[in-house]
Amino acid sequence: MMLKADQIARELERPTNPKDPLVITPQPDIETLRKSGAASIDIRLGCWFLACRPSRAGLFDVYGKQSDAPNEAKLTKSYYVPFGQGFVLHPRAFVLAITMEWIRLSANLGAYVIGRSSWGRHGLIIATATGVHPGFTGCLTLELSNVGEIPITIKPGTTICQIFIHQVHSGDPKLVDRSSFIGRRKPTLGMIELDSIAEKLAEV
Amino acid sequence: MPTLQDARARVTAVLDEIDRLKQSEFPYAHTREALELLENRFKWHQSVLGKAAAGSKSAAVHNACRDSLRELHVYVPILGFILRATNVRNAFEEYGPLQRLAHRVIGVDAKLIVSSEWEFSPFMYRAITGLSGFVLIGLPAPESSNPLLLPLAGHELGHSIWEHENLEANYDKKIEKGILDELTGKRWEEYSKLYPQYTKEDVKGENWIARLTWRPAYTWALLQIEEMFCDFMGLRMFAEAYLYAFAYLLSPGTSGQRSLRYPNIKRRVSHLIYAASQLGIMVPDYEVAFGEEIEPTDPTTALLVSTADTVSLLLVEDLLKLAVAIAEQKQVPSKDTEKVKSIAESFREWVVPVREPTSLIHIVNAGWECNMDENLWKDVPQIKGRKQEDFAKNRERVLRDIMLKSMEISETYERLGKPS
Repeated sequence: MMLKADQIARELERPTNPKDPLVITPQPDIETLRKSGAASIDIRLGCWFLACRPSRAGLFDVYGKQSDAPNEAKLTKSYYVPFGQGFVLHPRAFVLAITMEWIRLSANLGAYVIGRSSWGRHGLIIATATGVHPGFTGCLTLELSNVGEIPITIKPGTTICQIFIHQVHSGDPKLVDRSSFIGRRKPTLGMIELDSIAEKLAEV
Repeated sequence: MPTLQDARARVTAVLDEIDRLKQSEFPYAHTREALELLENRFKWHQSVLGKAAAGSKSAAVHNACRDSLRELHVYVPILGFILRATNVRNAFEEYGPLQRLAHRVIGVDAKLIVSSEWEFSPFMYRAITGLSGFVLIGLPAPESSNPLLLPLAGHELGHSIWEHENLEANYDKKIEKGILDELTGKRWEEYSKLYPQYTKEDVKGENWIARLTWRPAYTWALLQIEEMFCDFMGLRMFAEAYLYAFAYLLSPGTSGQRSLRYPNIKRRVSHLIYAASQLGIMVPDYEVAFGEEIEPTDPTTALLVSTADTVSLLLVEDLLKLAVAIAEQKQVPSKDTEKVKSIAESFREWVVPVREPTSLIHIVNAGWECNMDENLWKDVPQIKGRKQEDFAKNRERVLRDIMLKSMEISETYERLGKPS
């Protein structure tokens, strides 16, 4: 079941389970949420960006030895853009960004991150990996890409995407995804880990 | 010798470098402003050197060359400091709340630059002529993103207050009298062995050569009381968090020679413990974390530093009262234990940052409270990670991120007009 904005407002104000609350901080304006007929909540752009950069590192090969793989610092460059300043996303540029809000989903809630059509029509694509698992806590990493023809300036604090929050029916509320991306305030490339099947199938 | 030609080339080189530095990503306006001030300073030197006649050996040309060289020695390290202020290793989220604190304690005109330095000690650049009104605080590079150490900036702000309020003027006469009373009183025998040629009248009077013999004790005592004041100011601003941050950086000590400009570490810590008890701040078993330092063995230095120690010790109570009075006068918020507890609980139970405007003192104390908790997030599967060795690393990173995000969130509320 998808939560409407007024239900999200209720969960933020008086969580159904106070020991396992839904948290969005800074908190969106509760009154606005209550009056909104939407089934989503707007989320804002944060201050940190991460872009891949030309480097002397070899190709990105998840099948090689992990110890040989170049680390994130070698492949990327971080940018901090304070409130009031802008980041220019040039055509065909791809950059990781982060949400301004820190979001905590309770064990019975999941979410999807979706772009906003107003940005999309200008060529700004927000996210490709859109699922947020129950128990997630942290800022959401956004994968921004300008597929349009015009450079786009974006400033921290701008509503950049929306999340749809769903109720999840779970057999075991303690069973949560151990994603390595939780509890972060900055975007990160992270590691791609192959499971045992993929490892076997990748063998020559 | 082509002195003028060299001087012109040196100034042109530094201006070229400033031009390159201007292309850096400056997160805050004050950093760029400082760079522009230094640029104007060297442009002035360039103009003076440009007007000098080539081949001239006049004193004016010599002085212009010397002045520009002296300024290069002063300002090139500061250019490096300014450049490092743009490095993304820094925790930029600290800047807003720290700037607010600087405004409160120094004045609304205070311009803050927070950067990192390749020294394992926080420090502050003192009285920079070309950057009047600027406060430059550097944290050790490997720790510059560690919000747990932010309370040490309280000590550095203490130096700014000391300078800004000209507090030394309250003490220089007392220190001089204290040193002279000590040396001509119970330490006279020891002093006379080192300087048999002087009488007590010489030492106390206008015999300038005799005065030079005790002058180091006077200087060290003045430096020591400034450091003590800054410790008390840091403690008043950040409470327990200051003690923890201090211990993180300094304990157990390096067992090396003590610095003469500070009380020795054991005494510095005992002053902190005394001040903490006066302020109702509790940290158990604090003193035992610090080892001894080596005192100077050279008889003259030993006598003078021990005299400085005795005199500075007499001012502990006075300095603490002064730090507390200034903090009250500047309306520096005090720690609210209940508030810290509630934030720490939110960090601990739900792994979320603050949800309302919160002052820096509460965020850093909640952070330390969590950091000291051995069971923190032991049962949170996402932080435990898939491998056992991930836990400690994840725990440390998540705690730092939550603290820094809390600072950013508070700053957001401030900007939106919902101050803490």
